[in-house]
Amino acid sequence: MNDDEQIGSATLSATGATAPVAPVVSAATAAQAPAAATAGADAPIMSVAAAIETLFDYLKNVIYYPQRAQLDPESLPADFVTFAQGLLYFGNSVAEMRALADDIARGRLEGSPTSPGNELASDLKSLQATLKHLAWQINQVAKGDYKQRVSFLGELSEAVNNMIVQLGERTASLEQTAETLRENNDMLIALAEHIDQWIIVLDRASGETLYSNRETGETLNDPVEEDRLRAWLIERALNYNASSDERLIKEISFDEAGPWDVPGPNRQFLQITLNPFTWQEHKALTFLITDITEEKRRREELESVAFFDALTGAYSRHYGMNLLEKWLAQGECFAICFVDMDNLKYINDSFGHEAGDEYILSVSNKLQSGARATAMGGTGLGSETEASASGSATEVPASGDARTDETATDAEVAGPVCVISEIVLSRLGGDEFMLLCPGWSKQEAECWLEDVRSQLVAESGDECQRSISYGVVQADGKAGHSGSELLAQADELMYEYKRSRKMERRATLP
Amino acid sequence: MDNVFKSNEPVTHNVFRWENLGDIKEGRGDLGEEMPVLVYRLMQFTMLDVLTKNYGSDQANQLFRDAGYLAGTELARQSLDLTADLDSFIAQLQKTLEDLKIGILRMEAFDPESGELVLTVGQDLDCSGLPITNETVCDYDEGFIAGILEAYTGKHYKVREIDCWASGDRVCRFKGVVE
Repeated sequence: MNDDEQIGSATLSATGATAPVAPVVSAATAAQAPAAATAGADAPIMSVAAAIETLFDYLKNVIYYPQRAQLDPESLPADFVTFAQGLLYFGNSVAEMRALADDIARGRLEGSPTSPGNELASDLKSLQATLKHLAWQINQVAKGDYKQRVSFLGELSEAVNNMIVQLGERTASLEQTAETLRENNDMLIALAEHIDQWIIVLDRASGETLYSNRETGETLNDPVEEDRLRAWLIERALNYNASSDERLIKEISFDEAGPWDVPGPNRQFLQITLNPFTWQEHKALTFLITDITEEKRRREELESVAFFDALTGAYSRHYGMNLLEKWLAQGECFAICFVDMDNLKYINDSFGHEAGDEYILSVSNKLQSGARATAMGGTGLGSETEASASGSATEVPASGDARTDETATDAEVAGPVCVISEIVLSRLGGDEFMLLCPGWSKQEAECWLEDVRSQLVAESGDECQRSISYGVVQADGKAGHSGSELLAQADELMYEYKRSRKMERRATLP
Repeated sequence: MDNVFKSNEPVTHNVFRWENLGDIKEGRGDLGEEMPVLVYRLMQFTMLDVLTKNYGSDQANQLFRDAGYLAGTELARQSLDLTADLDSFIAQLQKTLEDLKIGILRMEAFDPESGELVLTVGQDLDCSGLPITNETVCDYDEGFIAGILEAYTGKHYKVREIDCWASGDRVCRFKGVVE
């Protein structure tokens, strides 16, 4: 009820009726009361029946048509004034209650204020208070406070408290899980940051970097290469095709593949492993990039020791024998030459090991250069055309430095393999060599070795004759003998040759 | 002659000390620690009557408020964990008021920045069930709540009752602001 209405009620109550809103009556208002009562007395007197009907209509309107509910107590007979005031108070209380109920129904919990003392609205206000508290309670839960409880609200308390307890337990469980995940994630991040490899994950649709455990520049020696490497990785990611040419894991050595095989002090070899996967709905490609430069250098050193003779640069016995067995297993046709240097012991004993080494090198070089010239220059030998046509008739390496990367790479991957167009020289022991001549006949090999022998003899000084003895066995591509057996046969032929030469020399002695 | 054996005992009950509340369990071995609310209100409203007659209603209400403030401060220091976080503090305050049958505390709003809060106390010890006089009568509660809040926050709170059973409501609503 507003102030005007209360003043009006107070005025009417001054006529003698009980005032329902007495606390707001002011002295000034009370002083005006007799005049108002007098004015009412001058108005036409409403009949009792009409007054009852007026009051009934007002009550009806209060219940059903609140907008029309109007009542002027002064227009009623004096005996009805107090009752009318009571009805007005009731109507006002009901209107306030309705407004508050409407606010609550619409979730407006601040609601319309009610007049002090409106006891009809008190239960609604209690409900309003409960809902406000529940709203606060829910907000507390939303911000993670599960300590509050709703008490003395019957089933509502039970339901809300049960919800809070369960949410609290679930949140605690989730937090525990999240903490565990966080710890695991931290460990993985720390692990990824401390491993030597560079891990970079790219989106296969956009090329966007989804994860990287370090900057590009931290992996490359040459910062200039950074942009090129990143562009290459993106290009690989965008064009990756898991269903066709790409395998699940593919390795790329940059000494073979990329623009990063740059000779010079910054030359760097990277090995890249690709692993496609789906991550958070992204089709992603992981690049695991390992700097293998140092590893490669060490491996080359080991291979040099294992596969090559340190003095001559010819292949080692181990390499040569493996290659021999391999060619035999493949059914290749080639000549196996066992070469023995004559008089090496005598030179060593007489002139020292330096002279002996020089002698070994001279024989080795002749065999290698002769073989090279034969293969490249063409001597009418059967292997020449085939070797040249294949485009891979490369030189027999004279030393570790001279060997081709192709040969070295094959050896790195699988040990000795058949490079069938090459003539391969191996040093078997102190004064023994083995030549494997693919496509050569026994006669062709013997002819050439005899030529080498003649050159050595011709170049010998007066102190001691330098020459070689040799035996050649033909491998005809048919199974039957092992490499060791064939080499033993060649060795035997070599001794026969050596003996026959000695016999010849003795026969020619005066 | 002074009693040296009692030199550490309180010299007067006119100055409040928590210890002066005594050992109720021992002292009331048969009747127990509880009593009807009627008795509490009998003491409260007779005291209010006397104070009002002697000092006027405003001063009497203020005295009640001051007494409530002292009670709230002492209760908070004795019974509540003042180092707890706010959410825990509210939860334990709510439980303590229920355990002591002071009333059902329910928070409606709290602004962490300003410290302003609105709370209700249902089934209030002081007023629930009183005749409607269109007054807010929970002056003691105002001080009581202010004392608790100050003990916890270290800030001086002004708490005023917005709605009261005595003004026709079913719960008492209090608004507290930091002064």
